Amino acid sequence: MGEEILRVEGLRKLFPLEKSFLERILTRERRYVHAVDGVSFTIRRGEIFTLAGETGCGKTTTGRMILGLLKPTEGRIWFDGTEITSLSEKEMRPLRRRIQPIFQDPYASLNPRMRVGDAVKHPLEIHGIAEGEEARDMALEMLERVGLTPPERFYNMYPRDLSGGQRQRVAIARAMILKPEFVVADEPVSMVDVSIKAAILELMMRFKEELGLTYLLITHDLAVARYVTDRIAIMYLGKIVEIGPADEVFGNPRHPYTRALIKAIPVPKPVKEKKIPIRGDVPPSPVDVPPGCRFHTRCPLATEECSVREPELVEVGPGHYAACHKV
Amino acid sequence: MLDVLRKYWRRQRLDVALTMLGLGIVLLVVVMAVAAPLLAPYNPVVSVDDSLLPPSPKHPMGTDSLGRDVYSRVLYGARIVLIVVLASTSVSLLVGSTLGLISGYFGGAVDRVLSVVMDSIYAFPGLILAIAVAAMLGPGVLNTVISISVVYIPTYFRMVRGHVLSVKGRLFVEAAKALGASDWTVMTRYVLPNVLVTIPVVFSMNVADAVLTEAALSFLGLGVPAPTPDWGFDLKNGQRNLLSGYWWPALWPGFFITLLALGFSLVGEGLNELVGGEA
Amino acid sequence: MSGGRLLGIEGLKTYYFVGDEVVRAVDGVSMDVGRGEIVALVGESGSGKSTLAFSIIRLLPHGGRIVDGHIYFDGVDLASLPEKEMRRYRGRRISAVFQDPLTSLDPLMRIGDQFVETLQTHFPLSREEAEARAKKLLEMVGIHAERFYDYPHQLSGGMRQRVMIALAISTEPDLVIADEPTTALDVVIQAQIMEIFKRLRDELGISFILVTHDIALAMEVADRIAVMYAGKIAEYAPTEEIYASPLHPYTQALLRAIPDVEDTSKRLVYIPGSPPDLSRPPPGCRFHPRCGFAMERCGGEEPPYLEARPGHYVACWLHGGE
Repeated sequence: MGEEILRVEGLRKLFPLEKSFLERILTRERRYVHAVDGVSFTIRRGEIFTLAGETGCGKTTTGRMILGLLKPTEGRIWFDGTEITSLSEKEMRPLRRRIQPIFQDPYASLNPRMRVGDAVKHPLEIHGIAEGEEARDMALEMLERVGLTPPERFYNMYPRDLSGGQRQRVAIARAMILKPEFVVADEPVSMVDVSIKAAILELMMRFKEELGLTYLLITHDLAVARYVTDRIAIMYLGKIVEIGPADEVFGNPRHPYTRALIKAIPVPKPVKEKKIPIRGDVPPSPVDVPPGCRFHTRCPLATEECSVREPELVEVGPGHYAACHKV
Repeated sequence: MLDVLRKYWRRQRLDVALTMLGLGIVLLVVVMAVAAPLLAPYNPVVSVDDSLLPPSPKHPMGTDSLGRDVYSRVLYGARIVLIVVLASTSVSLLVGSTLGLISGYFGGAVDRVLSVVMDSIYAFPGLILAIAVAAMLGPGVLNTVISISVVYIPTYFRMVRGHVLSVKGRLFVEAAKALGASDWTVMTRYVLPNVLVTIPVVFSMNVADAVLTEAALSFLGLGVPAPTPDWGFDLKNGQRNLLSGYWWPALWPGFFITLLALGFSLVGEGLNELVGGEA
Repeated sequence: MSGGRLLGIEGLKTYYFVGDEVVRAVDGVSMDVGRGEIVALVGESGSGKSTLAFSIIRLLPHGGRIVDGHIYFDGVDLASLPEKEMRRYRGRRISAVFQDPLTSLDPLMRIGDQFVETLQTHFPLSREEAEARAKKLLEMVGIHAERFYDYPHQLSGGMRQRVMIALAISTEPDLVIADEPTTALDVVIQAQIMEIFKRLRDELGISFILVTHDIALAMEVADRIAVMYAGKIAEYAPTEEIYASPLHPYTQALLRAIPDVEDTSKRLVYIPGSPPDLSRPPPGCRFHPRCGFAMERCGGEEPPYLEARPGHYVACWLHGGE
């Protein structure tokens, strides 16, 4: 691994809750959704880093802040040594060449009114790298590289003429044509058919090799994460509860939530009974966050201390940290 | 485009038939307007015979109270109607859509101010507004165009703005921003093309409505001035002698006003079916 | 399988008629479901699994129709039953749980009231009796009885789905059809709901047909698995058999294509090509264009669906057939 390419410190994002009419009259205070509540990590060049967790844990919001699509309420972000937290759109633009996204929904991330070829070459035009014939040729080459052959045929098609897997390939082509350094992939294969998932993942890995990419993978699918990632951070209700090298976190999970999560993943084997060590049912709302450790209301190991004091991340193994009093 | 048409043919035969009918009507009127000089046997502005002659081979639609050939007046009247109506709705479309796009995309104070203005205009019943503006500006073709455009600008504004708001939040727009596209690029290549889809539908419904508005303005004497042939004006004129049994000077212009409005409506409905399936 | 045959599907064909195109969504499917067993219908998009499930309760979307075959349920052929008769089965002896619980529950009614309404429709119960039973059902799926008085929007997605399951079993059905019930839910809730299915099977003898694209999930929950491809069943066998010796190349390919969180050395292998257009299926075996073992015969003739081993059915020229 190389040097640091992305650093995130104390990132927070609070969304104000809409107040009902009555609330507006009767109360003065605002309530917030604590989507992201104090997240810090670094990513090294050339590595695949995963932010994992279930719906509402804040991983997607974190990703969008890193991409500059959302401004953090608090905290700082550095990309390759430059602080990008509060850059204006104009200042961000040159950096966008180097940071590219791949989104979850291939049906929604492509402009339905733009031909595939035009969509793929558009980034080149935006950043003034190439235009006209040259841009077209580069787009054709890229279409070939992502497996959409013959490229001339796909060049003229519209997204609606393609399958989910094909659209995702187009999205990848569009992201890679700028030869970025850092790619944020938000659930890149969750909306793709099972038999194609592996193909898309392989495509992403191939580009990693060829372009020396660094990936931030955001996903709820731990099986997919396990397959590709070097390091992983598990998020719960806006905070990181465990972080470390993949082998460590998967092989020796120390946080009760991580343990439950890993145990819950379906494994292609017949299973007699599956006991998931989580109490209760409703995950607390990200608005009224429980005091102390956020997980304590569902945790089988919870004690008095857990409902009062928030745990800090402590080292539990080489490069491996968990935020739990009982660790 | 071809597969859109193909898909269209597969729909109900009735739908298709009605839309084709609408198109046919519109085309008929266009032909009437364009070929008026060839088709009209007489000069529509001048008295060519006795007044109030009933329909006959010499005057297929009879003559009006000033002895002018109704048939010729109807043919030339088509020109005025089409010009005024198409010009005014085009202006409405361009102005309303552009403002709607800017307002919806940028939001903020500009949006708030424009929305209030547009909503106020929209709140007026169309005809009353047209009358008010026309009364202020006075008669004349250009003034009529302006009066009618004012009425429909808010329609386009609201529709485009609403659409822009919903498209603005969609993932591919975010993706474009993440690529580094400028606001202008995002607006014109990502948002606008996805909003344009429904404009043709609104346009044709609009034109149908405008036909009636134009006729009403002329009927009230606020539109195109005499002696220019105009269906609305002729309708008013003909209406005076209706009770005495002279039905033809009123019926023919009235019939064509209704027919044209119907034609545009049918086309609009048809386009709606077509586009509704696509969106 | 514990108690004899509950559902017997024979040669079922369900087609969608769209404009002048015919989509052969289910094109000749035969399988059976026993009492007190969980059967999974596994397949990717376009495999026909949902159509098959909806054919059983005859809730096909516009344009869909059963054109051939039989669905024997406790001696009666549901495929040819008039709608009026079908209503006696639907919701009473065969229930369904769908993917999106938000749209299946009335947002303006309290949870408890929806139960009471359902129960009182099918059984002669007083309000108190219905309430008591409803609360018991909620407990059975792991929801506190106080939730009886909540509205749907006050519950999380996982809880709503559990309410749906409780509603589905409230009429004491023989069979519950669950179409991607946990796809929109998180992995932990999913595991809990699957345990509920198993418990209901064990304690109440209810059979489940679980429609899913996740073969790993199917293997963890189901007693038997039917793998579908392009409107036909490729393989149907007990889960242990699918695990130990999958016979159909598609099943094998599927298992090779999914990541296994416990097996870090596994290299994923994707299946080249894409599923066929069901309005114009390929000749012969539908999987042959993508099959690594395809022989000449596969492109010409469709393989018969045979019992290659006891209880293990396959449609593949590699495993029998003349």
